[in-house]
Amino acid sequence: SLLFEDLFKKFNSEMKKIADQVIPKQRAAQFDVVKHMRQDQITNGMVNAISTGNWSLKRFKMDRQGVTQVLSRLSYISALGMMTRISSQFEKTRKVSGPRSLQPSQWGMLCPSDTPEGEACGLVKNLALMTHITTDMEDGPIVKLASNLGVEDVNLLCGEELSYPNVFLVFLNGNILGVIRDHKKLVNTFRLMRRAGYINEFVSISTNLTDRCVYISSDGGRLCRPYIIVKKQKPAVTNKHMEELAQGYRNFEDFLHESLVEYLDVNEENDCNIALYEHTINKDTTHLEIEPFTLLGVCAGLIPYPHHNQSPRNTYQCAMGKQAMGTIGYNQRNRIDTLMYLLAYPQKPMVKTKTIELIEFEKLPAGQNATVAVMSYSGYDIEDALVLNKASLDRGFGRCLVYKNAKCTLKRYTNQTFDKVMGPMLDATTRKPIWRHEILDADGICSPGEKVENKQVLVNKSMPTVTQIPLEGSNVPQQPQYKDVPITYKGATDSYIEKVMISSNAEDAFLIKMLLRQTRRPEIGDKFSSRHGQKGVCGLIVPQEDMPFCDSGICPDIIMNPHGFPSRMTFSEPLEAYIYFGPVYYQKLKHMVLDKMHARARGPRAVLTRQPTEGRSRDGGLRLGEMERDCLIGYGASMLLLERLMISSDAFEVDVCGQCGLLGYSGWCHYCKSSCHVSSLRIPYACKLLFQELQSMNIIPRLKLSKYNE
Amino acid sequence: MDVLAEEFGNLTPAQLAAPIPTVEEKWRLLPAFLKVKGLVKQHIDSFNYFINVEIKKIMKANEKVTSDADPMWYLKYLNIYVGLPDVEESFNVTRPVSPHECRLRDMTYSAPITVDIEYTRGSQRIIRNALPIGRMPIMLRSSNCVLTGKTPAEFAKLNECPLDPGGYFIVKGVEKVILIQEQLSKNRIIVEADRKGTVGASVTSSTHEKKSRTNMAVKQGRFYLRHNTLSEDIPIVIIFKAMGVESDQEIVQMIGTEEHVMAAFGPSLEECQKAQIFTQMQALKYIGNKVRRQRMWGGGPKKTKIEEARELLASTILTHVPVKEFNFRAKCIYTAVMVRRVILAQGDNKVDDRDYYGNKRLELAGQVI
Repeated sequence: SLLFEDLFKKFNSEMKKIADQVIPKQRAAQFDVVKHMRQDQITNGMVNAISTGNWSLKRFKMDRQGVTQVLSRLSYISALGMMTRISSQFEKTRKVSGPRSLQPSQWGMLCPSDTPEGEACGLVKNLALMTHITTDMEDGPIVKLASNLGVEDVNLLCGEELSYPNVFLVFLNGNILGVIRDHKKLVNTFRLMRRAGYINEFVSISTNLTDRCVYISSDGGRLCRPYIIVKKQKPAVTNKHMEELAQGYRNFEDFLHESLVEYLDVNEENDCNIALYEHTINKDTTHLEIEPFTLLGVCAGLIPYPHHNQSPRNTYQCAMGKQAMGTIGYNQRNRIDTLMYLLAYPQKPMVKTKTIELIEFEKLPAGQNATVAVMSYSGYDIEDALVLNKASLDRGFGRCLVYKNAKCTLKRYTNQTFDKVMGPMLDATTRKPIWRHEILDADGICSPGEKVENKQVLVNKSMPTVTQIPLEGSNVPQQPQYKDVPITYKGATDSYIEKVMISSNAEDAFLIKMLLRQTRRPEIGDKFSSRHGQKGVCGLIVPQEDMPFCDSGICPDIIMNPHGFPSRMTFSEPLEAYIYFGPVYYQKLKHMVLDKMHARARGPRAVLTRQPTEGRSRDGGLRLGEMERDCLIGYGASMLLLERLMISSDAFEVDVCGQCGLLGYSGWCHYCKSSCHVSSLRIPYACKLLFQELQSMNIIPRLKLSKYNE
Repeated sequence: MDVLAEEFGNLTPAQLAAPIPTVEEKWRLLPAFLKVKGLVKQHIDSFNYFINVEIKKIMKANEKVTSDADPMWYLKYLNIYVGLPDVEESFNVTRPVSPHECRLRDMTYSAPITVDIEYTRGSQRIIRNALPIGRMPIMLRSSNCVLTGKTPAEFAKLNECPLDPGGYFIVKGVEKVILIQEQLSKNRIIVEADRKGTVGASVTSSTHEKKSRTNMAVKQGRFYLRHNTLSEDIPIVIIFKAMGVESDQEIVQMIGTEEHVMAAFGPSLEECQKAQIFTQMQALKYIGNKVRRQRMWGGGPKKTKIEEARELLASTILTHVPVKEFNFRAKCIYTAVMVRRVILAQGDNKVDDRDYYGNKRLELAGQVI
């Protein structure tokens, strides 16, 4: 509640300021605050903070960036995984291992597998399945209870008691409450009271023997998780209770209230003796783990047999599970997202875990059960490449739908003009719409079901040329003039229009949203992965008649090279696949060649430097970088260097005066006022630009010319 | 045998021989748990707590607005509510809105915040109810969301997925998550060794009004208090004296009377002696001279150095320890405990672990927003 408190205080001080200003002025007229209460300050403050993620509160000298993130809707798991993510305030650049390493106290609270690789490794964490985070609560009753249990108030102490060997200090949320002589009794009674429901179940109490303190915490933000209470070496929960739960007579709250189960936070966990399995209970055991697999989070919970894998493989799968395509929700067909990947025929996994059932991954799956043969087949499966069965692809294996949207608003301007959508432009001779406007309806908006090609128009919008209120005295044309600002489709591959939505947004402007669809079948270069951190790209698509088959006549969907196993030690994959042949749940990852492939011969150039543009989206060139340049220098391929770095980049013809060494123009040296020493040569345009920029800073670069044959 | 007797002695042979019945299917507690807590419920719980409880506390803490221009004028908040998400169709006409509509129409899924106020207009006292002061983005599936308590069929009608976890906001049509932030616990003493290996203690105190960080440093065997409102480190004994513990004996008693503790604290007492500070007034004056000048934007009545120092000790240093009517007793003991922790840690290097999860707190949407 930091942000709201800050905005509310600002709101109040604003009103005070207004009152201070207005009251002296209008003594006669009555000052009515209600007229001065403006809603937009709080509204905008909230909306801006959440939409940008910048939290800057001057009062607390707080200035945080990236507090909010856009919910990743790649798959159901990625959305769920994002809700359990924890980011740390620690700077990513510092190279200290302490905050990044796995702490023993994270056991059961945070997932040991789910963390990104690279710079945020160990700083971004995920909650485990059973973790709960406490909220703030009243501490009044706790203070009262503590003093009833014999805690002596600090204000009544002389000070010397603090160092008595049998006296323990009692802290409540970091404040000293008092001292206690019999700390064991205090802690035990306190826990009994909590189990009996007299105080909140999330209050924790723990003793620290080295500091001789008892810590009671009731503040918010503590991690805690439920445990079964063990009494006299027997778990309090019995089969009878579980039956009642299964029959619906009981719920989790009843377990809490009947002191069968209780919540422990990290500090109290440290003070307890928790058995992992029932047979490990001994006479000191105080609690029993509900189920060991709950120490993993939602993403790691998808992995079958995770305990048979090398641990980094589980971490890799956690990262890849979030990139898998599948389903995102029952309402996925009603959404108009900027980017949405869906699998055409998702399947629920045949090998599943309890976590999969609990988080209902089966209802919103992300993958397909592929029959996998672990064998070598052709040379197109080396380095983790996969061989796919063409017939499987024809039947819909790995087929996906990619949805993108196009958006357009029709605004109303201050000079009473507004945007318009014009109908398609007709060809003068044929009376048919021109190619660019082929898919437009009579209303000027593309019609659903049509195929759009690159550079075709989706909405034929036009905008008034003058949108400002004209200055007084200037003559305004009566009819406003319009210029075309069409929304065009850009993309190398064609799309289909799934649907068009016409609505209005909060600012009362018309809003047109179009959903564009592409259906893609897997092709060479698409990325797949099993659930064991075993990713690979498709290397070859083979017709079924050329595929191997087993003695029962089954033909695999995927052939995977066995070299992927020895070094990676992902033993759970052969377990899932019945050793070398069988069904394995495969995920199609969002990385597809179609979105990445790029090549260029000629193309656009940057305006300033006249060098080829950069990046696939701008149809850019492929850079011959510094290190590649070094190779060519080392090899002595000077003509190749010249061609790559100048001729096919930004060669430029300049006239240079041999006398003064400055650049001339069209055979004339403006400095020497002569043309007799001017010669023409080719240099990179960037070089010419550098010379001119230096000149503008009062540095004269002079070129010394000499004839190469003299 | 003794060990066994201790463990099994009170059991009859029949009991000993009985097979241990195990609780089967105890994992079924998990779906029951996930129904009430866990996964995204913490986001929702935290936000619910904020819009139902915390917001009223904030209002209570800032309930009165007064003006310097007219002492008679005031504005008092009586109550504050967060309503249900709606959208203004046309002027002053609103209707409830579904999250999916907000996503499609690039709107913010938000609800009006309304207040009941009491204020003066001229000489009248007026009470107005349900005045809007702004809009609050609403977390999906929170108590004020339209989706709470709906059946899957009703979800389908609202174009919403019943399996969607909720816990996020829709702002300008974009789904935004407030990530859980991990922080070091507030208001806890952390004893740590710095780079040179000298042990010190630090406390980041935080209350609704203030946030400050107080350090306890050791230089040449003497204890100092370091705070960014003070221009230099203040010897700890002077702090004790300024807080009203003038007798050296009492200070030592609070810190500890063990031989090695006294030995470790001795030099600090000596330093105070050398500085010729014996009374509370002298100590306050000493601190008053070290207070860093702050830009005074309030104006207000001029305070003397002594008052300023006392004010600083009461409200800024170790903010979270309450001081009522300048009764520094609790704060003295707190400071003494800090010193004692440092002394005890010095010997066998029992410093605290910053990365230990018991020392961490997680901030959720309700605390951040």
